[in-house]
Amino acid sequence: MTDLRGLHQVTDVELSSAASTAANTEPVAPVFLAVFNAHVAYVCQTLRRLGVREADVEDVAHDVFLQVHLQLRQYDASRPLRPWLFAFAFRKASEHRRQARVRLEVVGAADEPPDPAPSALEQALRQEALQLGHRTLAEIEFNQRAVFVLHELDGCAMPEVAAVLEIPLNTAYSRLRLARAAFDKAVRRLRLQQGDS
Amino acid sequence: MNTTYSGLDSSQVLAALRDEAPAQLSSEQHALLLSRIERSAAALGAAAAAGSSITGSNVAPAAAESPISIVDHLSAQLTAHPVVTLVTTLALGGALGVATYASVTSRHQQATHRAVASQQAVIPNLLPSASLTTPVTPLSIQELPPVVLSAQTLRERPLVSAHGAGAPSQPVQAAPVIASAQSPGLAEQLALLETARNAIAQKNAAAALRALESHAAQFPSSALAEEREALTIRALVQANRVTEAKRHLAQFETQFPNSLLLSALKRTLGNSS
Repeated sequence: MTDLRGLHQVTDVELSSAASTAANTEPVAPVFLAVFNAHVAYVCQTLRRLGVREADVEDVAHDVFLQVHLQLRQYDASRPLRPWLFAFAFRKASEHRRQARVRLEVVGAADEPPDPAPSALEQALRQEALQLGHRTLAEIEFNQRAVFVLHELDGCAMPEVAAVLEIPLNTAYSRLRLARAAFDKAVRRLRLQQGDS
Repeated sequence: MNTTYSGLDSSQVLAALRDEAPAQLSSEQHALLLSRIERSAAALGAAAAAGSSITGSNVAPAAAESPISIVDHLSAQLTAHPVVTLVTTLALGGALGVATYASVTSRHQQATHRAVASQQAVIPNLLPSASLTTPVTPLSIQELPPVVLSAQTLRERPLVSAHGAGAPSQPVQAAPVIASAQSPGLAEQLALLETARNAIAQKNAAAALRALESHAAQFPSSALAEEREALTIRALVQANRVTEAKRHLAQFETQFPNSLLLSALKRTLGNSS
């Protein structure tokens, strides 16, 4: 599992240079592979955060990377790679949602946190917070959630968020505000719900 | 669940989400996903190549995908788009190809079809023969849905075809339209490789190797050789025959130096030794 990370993690910088040298003449395969190896886990995580069910994550990731493969030459190496990938994940997750058969959202519980064993209590608390986090995310409206995930969780600056999602900056801010409110509200509600039971 | 969220506030929950490391794929998942993508991309490359002469100059704007459904998209294309018209023509013309495909499909119908029925109703006419025109890569039946997607892309990203992208292993040559008629025993070949793939998935390396050896004996220089060799290496690793796997890998590297499967195969071997 973890061996992949060490071996195949490629930084955005390396990739940027790889992508720019690839220009329009080199075969796309080596660059694509580097992107795939380094970021497939991120893409899968993003899909989960955007509400793709665990059972469908691999299929949607396939669609995402197929599109990435096709458009790799259009990647602007001066821009960060992850938000660019996020845009593909967002579109494919959105398509996926529109299919009538996918209505019920179950945000899959993540795997165990890979941190080297903190105290059992800490671990339990973190797990609990994470579980609540996933349930909370699932309650935010999809478009707002995309802004929220990209900005709050991935740390992407708002202008970049707006560019990636192809929405006006004001709209992005407005969605962020709504998403934050929804997040707080959902945390409170789920907390109460849990307290009652 | 005995959790009590009462002690948690929004900022803690947010922090937990931020800190969550993405779950890594197992190397098996990683390799499988990669090979699926490769096959889809190759099928797509062939389809795009077929239309490139018509749409080569029609470069679509970056990363803009209209939010209409794939089905709408396709029906629009059916009436409007020259590529699809061409591909459709090829599909109808290559009746033999379609027939071959149909016979294979019926055998593997239970495989992982994801596309909704309405999409499938539109697609099968279009894609099989387009895919069979590639001299390079097999159309796995399991890859149909991605190919569905590819038809959509075909309209939007004709740029790709200009570079022959999506044909990772060998340059796509002018696609022989009648490949379906020329590929000897295509249905049989696909069936053998499918058998091997399923056997590997069920950890039955011996059965996989039997199917692969049979394919190698009957179709030594098939267009599906790359696929066969990749499967052979996986099966050998699974059977713990590492030395042989390495030998095959070395051959594979010489034969298909640009294969997208290469690094996944190396990793498979790396993990086993």
